[in-house]
Amino acid sequence: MVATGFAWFLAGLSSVDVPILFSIGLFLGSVWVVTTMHTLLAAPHGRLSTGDRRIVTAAYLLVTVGILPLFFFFDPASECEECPENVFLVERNDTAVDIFGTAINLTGVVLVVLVLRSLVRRWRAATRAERRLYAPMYGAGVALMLALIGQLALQSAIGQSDALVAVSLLSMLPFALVPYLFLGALVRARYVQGGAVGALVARLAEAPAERNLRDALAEALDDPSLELHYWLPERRQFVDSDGRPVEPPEEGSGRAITTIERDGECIAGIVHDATLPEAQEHVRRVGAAAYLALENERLDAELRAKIDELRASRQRMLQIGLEERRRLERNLHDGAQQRLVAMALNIRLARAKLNDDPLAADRLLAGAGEELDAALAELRELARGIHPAVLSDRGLGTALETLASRAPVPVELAELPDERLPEAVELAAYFVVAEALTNVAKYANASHATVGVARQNGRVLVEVSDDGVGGANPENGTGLRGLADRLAVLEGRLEVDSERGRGTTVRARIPCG
Amino acid sequence: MRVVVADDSVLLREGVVRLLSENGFEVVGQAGDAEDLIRKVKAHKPDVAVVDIRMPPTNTDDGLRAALEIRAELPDTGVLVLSQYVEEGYALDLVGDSAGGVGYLLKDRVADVERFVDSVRRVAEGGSALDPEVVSQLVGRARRDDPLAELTPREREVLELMAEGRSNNAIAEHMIVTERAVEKHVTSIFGKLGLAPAPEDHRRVLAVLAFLRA
Repeated sequence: MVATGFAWFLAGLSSVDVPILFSIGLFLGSVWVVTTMHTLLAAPHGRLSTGDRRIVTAAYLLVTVGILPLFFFFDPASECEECPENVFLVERNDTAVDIFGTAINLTGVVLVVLVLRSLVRRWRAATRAERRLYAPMYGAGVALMLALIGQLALQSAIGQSDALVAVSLLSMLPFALVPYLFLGALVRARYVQGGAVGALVARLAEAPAERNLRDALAEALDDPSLELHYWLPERRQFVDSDGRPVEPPEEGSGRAITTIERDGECIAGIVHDATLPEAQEHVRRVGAAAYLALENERLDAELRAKIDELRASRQRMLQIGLEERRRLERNLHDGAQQRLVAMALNIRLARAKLNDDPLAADRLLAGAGEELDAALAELRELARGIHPAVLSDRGLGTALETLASRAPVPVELAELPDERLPEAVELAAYFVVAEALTNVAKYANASHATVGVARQNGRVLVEVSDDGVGGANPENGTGLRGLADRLAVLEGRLEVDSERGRGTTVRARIPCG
Repeated sequence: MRVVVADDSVLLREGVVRLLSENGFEVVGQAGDAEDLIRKVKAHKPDVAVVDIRMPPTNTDDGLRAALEIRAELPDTGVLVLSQYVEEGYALDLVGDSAGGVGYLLKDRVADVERFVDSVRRVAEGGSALDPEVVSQLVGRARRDDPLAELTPREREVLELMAEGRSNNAIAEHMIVTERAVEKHVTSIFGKLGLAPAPEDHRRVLAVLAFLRA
């Protein structure tokens, strides 16, 4: 804007009688137009987008370098007799002046149209609040640009005339207004923002318990589409006020999320119309003012999320229980029961043949004995799957040693607890390791695995890692999903790191007093 | 030979008692829980106690703990533990640092009378009897740079039978080879695994177990 002032002053020089000053005034007389464009395009943040920068650079070049040839051939005497001489004049050539003049004017029109387009785009992208603030300035800017187009067009069409003078004078009005309107908007923005924070605090103080936080923030930021996302640190996920998971807006979607933090911990994200970083600062200030209410709502949302999760996990546990029973029934039916039936049959047949054909009876009884051994072995394995006796007898350490020694992949036992843990925790930890090792054997193609169980900060951390192919997805397999549910009952969590080619690490954290 | 039998299931206990009595053992006492067992063993000082692992009062591994106590206090009394499940950790605990006069068998082995009686006799005489399942778990453990991979299938079989606590004579009989052949296998195995040769059967068991559990 200051540059515009100086440039305007330069234009004034063209009315001076001293030839050198007159010439400079004549030569640089259009620079003010470009500085004004620059101001308009850079408002309100003082930065130009790449496209806008190109337009402004082209305009500066046009009014300084581009205009030069004109002045080598332009003799002011051709238009006014009293004007001082043009010190840059090389040779008077009216035809050249006409040609260059028209070319420059046309280029000027094109540039002004581009500036107009940029302004309109800016207007379209602006948020409601921004529109309200900057409307007068944009209005004046557009008026100025339109006047300039008129001026340039007239100049090219009919040369110097009364109409041209009238339009020039008319364009002075919006030109003069631009800086005032811009300053006015800046001041008002500060005022409105300060007022918004004040009003918000007052409103929240009046009715802190009401679930109108979103509305209050929407009003304070003048953005009716505003949404609140609450951060659940345990899940590392945003949820809405009902506790349902939500995705933060993507970049370039026209929406932005500004996170509100306290002591370095994210509490919530305010999703609003995408604006420049300065506006985000304002959103952050408003959010900080509503910190307490946001934290309350976050806790509320967390509770709802937890309830939903529990409901779903209970459902799945029920399902798992049913499936487990069905599996047991099948195993018993197809395995031990069949064998016992066969055995009973063999024994009866043997009894019938005992006297007539002792050899056949002996064969039948031998067969019965084999069936019996197999049935016992199957029952043993089945019982181990339901609840490994060694776990309740000796605790997790010994039970995991057994699991490790049975795994088809070499398993290294890192840290193991030497004390007994609550039964439910031991069982959950055992099944985590069992399932993880089963997966290692089935899918990982690993050369070895490591198992560790450690107590830390009131939690038991169970970790099973392998050096296999990775790429396991807990969402896909029922095994890991079932584990997560088993853990959820104990308020525990399951994490799976399984980048392709980097091995898999299954980590369970179980609260343990 | 004098035996004390401990099992809380009367049916099974009676079965084992009858089986042992019919095969030349003298059953001097029967117990239904761990405390009763220790009392009877201390009173009768039998050659061997046959003990079910799961017994009152806690119905977990009371039998095993009683067995350990007996082994510590009465080293001359052999203890044969019967278990419903293969738990090599239990077997190794039970053996501890002496494989003499100790046994760990799956309960179903009782059905194979001849072998069962042989096992009880071996334990009573200061030898050892480990269940083949337990041994095969130990041998079958996945290892890095598995030294067992160097053994021939024959040697592997001999190793397993050795770990069970069988004598060369018994191994030879089982594999239908000469005792000389078994001896050669044993020397080769000890050489390949880098173990010092052990003269007595139960010391040999300990050496092999120590190797397998490492």
